[in-house]
Amino acid sequence: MKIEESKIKKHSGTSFSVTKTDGISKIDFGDGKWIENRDYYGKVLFGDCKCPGIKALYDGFSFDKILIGGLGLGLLPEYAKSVKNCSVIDVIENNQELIDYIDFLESPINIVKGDALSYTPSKKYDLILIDLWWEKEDITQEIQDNIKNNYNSYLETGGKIILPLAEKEL
Amino acid sequence: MPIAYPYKFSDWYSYDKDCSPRVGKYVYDTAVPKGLFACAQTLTNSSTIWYFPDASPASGDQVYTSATGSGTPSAGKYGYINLANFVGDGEDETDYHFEVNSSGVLTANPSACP
Repeated sequence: MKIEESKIKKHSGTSFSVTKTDGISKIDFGDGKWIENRDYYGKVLFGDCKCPGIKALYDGFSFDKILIGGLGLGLLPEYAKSVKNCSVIDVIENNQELIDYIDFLESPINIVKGDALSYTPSKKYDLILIDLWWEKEDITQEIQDNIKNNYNSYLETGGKIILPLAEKEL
Repeated sequence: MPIAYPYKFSDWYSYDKDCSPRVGKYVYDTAVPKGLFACAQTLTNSSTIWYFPDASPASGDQVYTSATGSGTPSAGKYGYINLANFVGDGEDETDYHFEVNSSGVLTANPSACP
């Protein structure tokens, strides 16, 4: 599941650029941090892949209300909507330029400006999925502890906080 | 440098006597933003092969895109199938991911896929 290419515009901004090569959009934040509009993004991070470590995080777990930390190209909220059929999809993003640019995501996807590491939700979720990093090594134990402390009381009964890049449930 | 006839003993002794062949591995050669996206990619007998110094690549190893060492991969994150796990039935999947710099050198030890 990827974003319909016709919805993604080329962009050259201050914090990122979006280019198209062979019909595939790529958002580039610089410093080797980029995302392409490809099917694998949502599949892998939601465990719908031949990736036992991540898949196991979702085994026997169903969710309807989801909070996603990090907007990127919008691939995760779009997957949550189109494949997982979630009825509540909130996304926390602190880059205003990115929030303004991603104008193609539709209800029930709701983008909120804020820091995903310290945001205080106004409701509870079944799944809180944080995708802010490019390398597993960037997710320190301190960061994990802070995320758990910040969000633990905003989980529905049986809910989960998942950091797919770290292959971890907090 | 070509060796001329007749061979001399010095020609023989000047050979690199401890050289070893590079090891080819089937790779997922499309760069990905996060290493784990290079995991579980299906490869076949006709997939790209890149060449490593030995069967267990490590940080600092040079990677080549040809057996003769005539090319190196672009900087990025990729995946390969551990040789011991390659069957060749068309359903083999990458089980390691790795990153190379702009010189085609491994920036860290390859990681087993989750």
